[in-house]
Amino acid sequence: MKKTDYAYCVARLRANEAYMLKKDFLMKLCESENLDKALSALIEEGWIKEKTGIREIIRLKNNELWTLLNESVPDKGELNVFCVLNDFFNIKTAVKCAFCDAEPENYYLYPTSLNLGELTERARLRDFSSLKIYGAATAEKAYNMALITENGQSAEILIDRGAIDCLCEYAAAKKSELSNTVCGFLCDTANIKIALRINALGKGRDFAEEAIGNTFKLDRNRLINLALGEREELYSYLLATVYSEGVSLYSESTALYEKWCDDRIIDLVSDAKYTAFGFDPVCAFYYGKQNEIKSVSIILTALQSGVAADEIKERVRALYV
Amino acid sequence: MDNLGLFLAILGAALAAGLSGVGSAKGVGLVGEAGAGLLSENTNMFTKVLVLQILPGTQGLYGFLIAIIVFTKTGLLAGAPVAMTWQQGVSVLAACLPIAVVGYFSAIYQGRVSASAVSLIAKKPTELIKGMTMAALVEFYAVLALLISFLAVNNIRLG
Repeated sequence: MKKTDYAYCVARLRANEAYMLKKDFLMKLCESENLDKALSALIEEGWIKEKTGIREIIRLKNNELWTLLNESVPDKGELNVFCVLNDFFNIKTAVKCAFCDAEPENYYLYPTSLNLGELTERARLRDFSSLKIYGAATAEKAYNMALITENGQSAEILIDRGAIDCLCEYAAAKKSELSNTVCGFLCDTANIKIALRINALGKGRDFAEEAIGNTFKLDRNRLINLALGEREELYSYLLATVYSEGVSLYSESTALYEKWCDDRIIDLVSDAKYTAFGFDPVCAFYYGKQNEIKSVSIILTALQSGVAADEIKERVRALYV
Repeated sequence: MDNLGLFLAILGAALAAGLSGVGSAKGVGLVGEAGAGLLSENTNMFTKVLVLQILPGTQGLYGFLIAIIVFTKTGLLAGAPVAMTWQQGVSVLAACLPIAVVGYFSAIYQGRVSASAVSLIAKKPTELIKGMTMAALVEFYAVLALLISFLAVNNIRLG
């Protein structure tokens, strides 16, 4: 697909960028007296149409975003890269529900590139062997492992590992440089978090080998070895990588690390603002919109819980526009 | 081989009209795609999009103009072709090449700039003039090629 094939798509997304929320607005939103006032401000801004629950608002905004991308992008297969984490979460949900006889539909995350009907059916039958979706092998392996070991954690780790490896495959694909960079970043930051947890919990080598997935800019073997060793050595290695800023924030709190990851993605994609054609502006728009939705979600949830404005402001993500 | 000169002259005219026409079609098509993307979100932008879409279309007109001049000069338009040597035919063909080649490429590049300008006005509707100016700068080279082809075709002595 040629970059100019994205002319329609990019123009449409640029038109939508004009309606994305600005930082000033979000800061004012943080200062809202209560949730009701914040929802009124969002209606006034044209971001939502009516007052509903926070979960419903986020669901609607994600649907809106996904519909827009599906209508605009010339090759819909390219959008699968945005579904990886949700896809593997849905596989995890199906495997868990297969164990506890629960209906997985209520727990699925969207957007997803999976055939959820088939996944649900397989979960009901407790048989993932003939599943014809990508990630099927991971689902089957995880289910069988959970059956044998009667340990749900091992199955979860296997599926999370599947997601990381899948992201790493996307990072190596020769499609969009920007998409590759973001996938690689997501892959590495997830591995860093896992390595730091393994180190903190004192897990063994088998666990580390199973949990830490393929890496993008990090040395996987070194990361595994250091995760099993002294905390200082692991930190000194990670602080010497391009992820040093995030790692130093992780030692303060995981929430700060998560925020750094989200903000860093916006840094990575921000150059696409000046790209006229190709998949890069789509990628940038998607992650920009994700951060916007996440920020509103954080603000509304915090207002509902009565968190102080200054504390909420610290959690608001960087914006694309 | 008696008509080789005339054949070459017609080939020149065909290239001038054909290549610059294809370039313009590509350029206008690209801006049209981008324009449709913008209009699907904001139909009020139609006039602005139209202005930008017209810009890469001029190269096709320039090529067409040179082809008509060649047809007039060779008597084809009047239905009475003049006798030409092969050297005269080559001269006409060479005279047509600037607008054929520059017209083709400049129309495509102007289309890209105009399509980018559609994205610009999608975010900042008041910036149409800046977008137009950037696209018009590409036009400058098509105008130069038109002038060269026009002067060259006009100054070739036939018959």
